[in-house]
Amino acid sequence: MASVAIESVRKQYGNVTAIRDVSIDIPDGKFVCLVGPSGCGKSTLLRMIAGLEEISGGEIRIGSRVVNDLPPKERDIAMVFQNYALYPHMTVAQNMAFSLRMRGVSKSQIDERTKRAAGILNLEYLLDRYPRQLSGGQRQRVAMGRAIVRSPQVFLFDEPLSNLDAKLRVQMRAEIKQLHQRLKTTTIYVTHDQIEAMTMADKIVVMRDGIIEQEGAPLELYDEPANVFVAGFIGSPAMNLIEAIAEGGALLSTSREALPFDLPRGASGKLTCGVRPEHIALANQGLAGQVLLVEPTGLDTLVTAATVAGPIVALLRERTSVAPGDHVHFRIDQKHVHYFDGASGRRLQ
Amino acid sequence: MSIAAAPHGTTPGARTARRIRPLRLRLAGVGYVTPAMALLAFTLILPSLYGFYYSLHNIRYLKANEFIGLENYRYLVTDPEFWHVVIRSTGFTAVAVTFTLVIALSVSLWINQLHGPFALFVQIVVILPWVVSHVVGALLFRWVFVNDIGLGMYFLEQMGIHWFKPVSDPTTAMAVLVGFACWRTLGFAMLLLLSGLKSIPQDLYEAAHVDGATARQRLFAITLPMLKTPMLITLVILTVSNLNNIEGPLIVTGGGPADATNVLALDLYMRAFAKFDYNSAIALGIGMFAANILLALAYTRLVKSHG
Amino acid sequence: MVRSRGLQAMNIAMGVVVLSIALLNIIPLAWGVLASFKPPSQLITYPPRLFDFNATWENYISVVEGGFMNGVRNSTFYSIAAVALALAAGGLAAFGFDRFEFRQKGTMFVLVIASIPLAIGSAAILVPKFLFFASLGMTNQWYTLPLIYGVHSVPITIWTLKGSLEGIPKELDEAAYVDGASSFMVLTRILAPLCKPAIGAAALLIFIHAWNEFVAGSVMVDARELKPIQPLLYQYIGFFGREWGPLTAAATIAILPILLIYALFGRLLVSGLTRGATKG
Repeated sequence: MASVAIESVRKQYGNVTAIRDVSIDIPDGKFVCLVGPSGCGKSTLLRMIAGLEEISGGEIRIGSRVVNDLPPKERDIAMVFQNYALYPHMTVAQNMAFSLRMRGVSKSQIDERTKRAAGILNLEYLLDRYPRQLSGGQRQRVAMGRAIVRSPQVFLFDEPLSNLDAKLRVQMRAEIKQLHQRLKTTTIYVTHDQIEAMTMADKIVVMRDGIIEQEGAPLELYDEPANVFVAGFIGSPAMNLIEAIAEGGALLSTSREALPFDLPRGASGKLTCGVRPEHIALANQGLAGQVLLVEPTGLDTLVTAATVAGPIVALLRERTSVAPGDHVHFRIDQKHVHYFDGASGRRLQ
Repeated sequence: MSIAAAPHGTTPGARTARRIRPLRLRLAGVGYVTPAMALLAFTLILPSLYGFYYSLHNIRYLKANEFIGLENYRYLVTDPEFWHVVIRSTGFTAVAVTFTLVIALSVSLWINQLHGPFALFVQIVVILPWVVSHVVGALLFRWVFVNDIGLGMYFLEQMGIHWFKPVSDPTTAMAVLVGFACWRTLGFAMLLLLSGLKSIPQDLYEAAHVDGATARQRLFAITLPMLKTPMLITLVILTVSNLNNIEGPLIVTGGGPADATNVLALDLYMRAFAKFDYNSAIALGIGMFAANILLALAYTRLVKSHG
Repeated sequence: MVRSRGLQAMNIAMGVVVLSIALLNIIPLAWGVLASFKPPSQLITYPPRLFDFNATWENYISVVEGGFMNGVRNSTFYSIAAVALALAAGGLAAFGFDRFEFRQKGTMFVLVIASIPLAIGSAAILVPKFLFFASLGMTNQWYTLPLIYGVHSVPITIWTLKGSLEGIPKELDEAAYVDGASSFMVLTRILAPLCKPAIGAAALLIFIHAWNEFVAGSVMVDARELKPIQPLLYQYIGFFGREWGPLTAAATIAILPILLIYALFGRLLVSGLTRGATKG
């Protein structure tokens, strides 16, 4: 096992810069998620760590070794691909044994380690099957088995769950997390699904357009997003983001209506107020609005209403009888309002 | 026989942006293509350059002697017989290719609606003359259809046709040669067109069906336009194949009677390896090679445009 | 669907056309094979006899005594060597073209594509090639014909195999690289096994091309002990003249492997001939 250090890494395709000056420190044994919308550079970064993409600038270290110029096979990493990339002409056992065979491990060792890895993932009964005979979830598990069989220093996952249906995804999420807790191998996990990142990671790195927007523990990102992008990206349902203007000691909406938010000290000009749906409740007075949409999930209810601040989403813990068209008032928990600079999008303290 | 599939499918070298690889792998790419490129250069490119060099010299005993500029070419084009051969070859190729293409198109449209083992069986039978060697094909074609005691003549006589003298009359001899060319290439042309037909997306037809198009309208609005490039590719392949086929005229008609079926490929072969007149043969060979290059360029463009 | 009467008539007409094509294709071969078993006296009967003849090996015996089997041996070796050469060079090149980026790749690939019709029209370049090979002393050698036959098939082999490689996701290569494979291992252990049908089809086509080739075989080697089967067969036409018995016997021997391949691998052959067009 080893730590991974990414220092000022850049990736250039001709004139296009895919990644600009990214630095991440991944301590030994940690589970780090790279998240961001598609095209943000997260997969490219992962492939650079794996050795599948050239590094245009900067340095990547695994353990104490600089791996910039090492081919994948010398980096001692294992990777799980989005489409599993199982070798179709090999059985499950052969798939798992391939990397060991490439490394010249003895036959008896191969058998033993394959069996052990298969045991960890409950794959023993599938060892003689071919990938085409497996279900999506089983293939996913074989792909993981192939990764763990040779006990690499680092696991790399490239959106491994995106081809599974919603239920299976939740189940596999838990399995991957348990696997990590058991093996404690340094893991870098790329996903566009922030819930996966929130639930699994020790540390999340949010990327956009080839740069890091914020990194930190999941709840840190949730509670103190560094900018508007992270605020909107992390959390589901997404944070309400309201454009506002600080003027004459008061906070006004873009249409110059008074907004029910405290004015942060020293703020002036345009800013963005953010408040998570769970910090908005129904009340007898407060922000007035007309209900547009009611979405009960059983556990809680999402209410969307048109207000002077624009459409606002509130997450209600208790069942409610409001219906579209109803006039309601919202109480906003002032302790949990986030303020961002209107121009730079950065968090205001 | 010549082997070729019509490669219409992809644009060479088209790759998505994510395909850039570490440096050592890029060098490996060059390494992997080098043996094949070297072989092609050695047996295709070098000989043609060498041949061009030779064609500017007086050739005796297989050696290039003194430089004589374009004399070999001048000698060839001032030979009136040469122009007869050119005209004859053009006519032969045009007629044979047209016939083959028209029959192949109509038949492949019909085969395209067949399914299962029968469809495969039809394809296998139809392609038979293309995979049998040209020598055997020509020999048996002559034995059965041309020979005066063969099956074909017997049937013609039974039908009361006595005027058809395949190899002794100049016109019928040319007809026999065209017949052999069609027989030889028809199946392959059909397979090429058939695969073009199979690659037309089925939903186009479904959409047209929903829009109320008749079978005829579907043929003219979808099938034929979508089949344009495969047809052109087939056209080029057939032209190259017929222009360069030696075995047919050599074995079926022997170029006769009295040069009536002496076409370019046979003329080239005879000049070089029967009359040992390498001076005019190399000029003719280079000329034909230039024509082949033009056809090859057309082919390359077609294949690329189809990707 | 309602079918019009016209369409139905058209259908029947096309069926008849296809049937006649089938007959025209099969009859010469079948008739030739039959003839090879007829004694000379019954070959020239008129009207032609179909089955009422006394089958004999006589024609085959005279062909074999004429040294024809030497040509069969030569052609067998030439064809197998050509398959090995074209598959090796073509397979490596297909891998290089499909999976790597390098300078001038586009130009080189256009060259490969252009070589497909150039290989079909190899008659034109026959004389230059003969003079070139002769000047290097490479005519009349045991390797002359395998080299020429192999290289003729290289372009179409590259094209066929590249088409097959395109259908295999790049993720498999990447997984293998991460698993510790070299690029050659990726080709031989992962990609080649997945391209088996295409490789098989390509091998058949190369073999058939080499087996059937006449022009280069008749020109590039002179020595009788190096002659492949097709030029030998052609020589027999001059040698036996109108003795159709030995001629058809030799022709039958010459098409036997092709018919065998046909019987065993018909489907693979058809798919190979049209591969590239129906890729994906």
